[in-house]
Amino acid sequence: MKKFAIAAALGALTVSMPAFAAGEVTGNVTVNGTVASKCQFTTNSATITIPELAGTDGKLLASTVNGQTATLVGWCNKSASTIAVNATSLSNTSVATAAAGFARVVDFAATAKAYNGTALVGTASDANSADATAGAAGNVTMFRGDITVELSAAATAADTLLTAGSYQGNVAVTLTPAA
Amino acid sequence: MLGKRAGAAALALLSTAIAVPACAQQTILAYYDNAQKAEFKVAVVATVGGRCGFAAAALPSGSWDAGDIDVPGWAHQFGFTLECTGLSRVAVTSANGGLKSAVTPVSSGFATLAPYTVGLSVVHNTGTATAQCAAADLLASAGTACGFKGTAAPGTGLAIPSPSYDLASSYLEVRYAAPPSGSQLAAGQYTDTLTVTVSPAT
Repeated sequence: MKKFAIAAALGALTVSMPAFAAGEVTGNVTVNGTVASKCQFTTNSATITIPELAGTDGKLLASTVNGQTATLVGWCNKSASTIAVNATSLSNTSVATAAAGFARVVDFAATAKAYNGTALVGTASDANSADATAGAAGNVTMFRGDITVELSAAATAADTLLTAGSYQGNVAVTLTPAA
Repeated sequence: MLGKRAGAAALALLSTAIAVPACAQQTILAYYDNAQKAEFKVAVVATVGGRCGFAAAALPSGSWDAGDIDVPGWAHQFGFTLECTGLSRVAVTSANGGLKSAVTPVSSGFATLAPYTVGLSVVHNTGTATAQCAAADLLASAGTACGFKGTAAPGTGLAIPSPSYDLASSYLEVRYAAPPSGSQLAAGQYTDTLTVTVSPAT
């Protein structure tokens, strides 16, 4: 009987063995990444068409230029990015040199304003379209939306008539991502 | 009273019982010396102690830098090796539900959580079990869209339908996923941590 008791005890010991032994059952991995500071235009061009620059007196009618607007669309994904504007005068593309008393160039100023939704987040201007140099850059916060461009201060050399022909100018808007 | 030989026989039979596969039952017969048989039964339920875990030298672990996460094409595989002698389950959770940035303040129209895809590929004795989910569906608070979300348990995780012990080429993969349209990621550093667990399936 004593031996039976030993056998039964061994049996009970077998039953209590764990079904599974666990090794390392948990691991952790970390994924890192970067989104670089960047700016981008999603609509990067627009055209302003002015049917007639001159008034009935043959001179520049400034109101045909001033207040003209165009809208670009873009974004910058980091605050302290910048916006800059470089205006290039309207020039008669078919006349190389204007006769005495006539002008073939219309200068103007341009201002760009960046919006995040309806909130104005940055602005920049170029007051001199004749110098081929951008005006001072302005800061923009992180934004995603319209960039309106408005022309103003149109002018020619004093008391000159505009030569007939097609005129072409340009406003370049530059978004520079924050460092 | 049993003779010494009969008692030894009983112990020998019991030793046999311990070595048989799981849930076997063994009848032990004992005899009196005088040829008059007395029979009794002792039910012995024996279990083969299995093992399920990750190989210590091949845990899913480490850190990887995806670089520019808003540029399509990045992917990486974290290799691991299972040591499961039976059926098992592998499950994953994501700490952030995506690659998350701490950038503040954030203008409207910008996001600080970048989506990505998580895939599992587990080699086992009879094939390879695979599945993939959006990291967002691996968040602890996410619903049941992902079949391997959570902490591995007998009913939770990708089912590995046969043993996988020391087999190479299993991996956890992270891969670029396009952000939803109308969303732009704010500049900054992004991170997420995935926790991978394994459990016996039964």
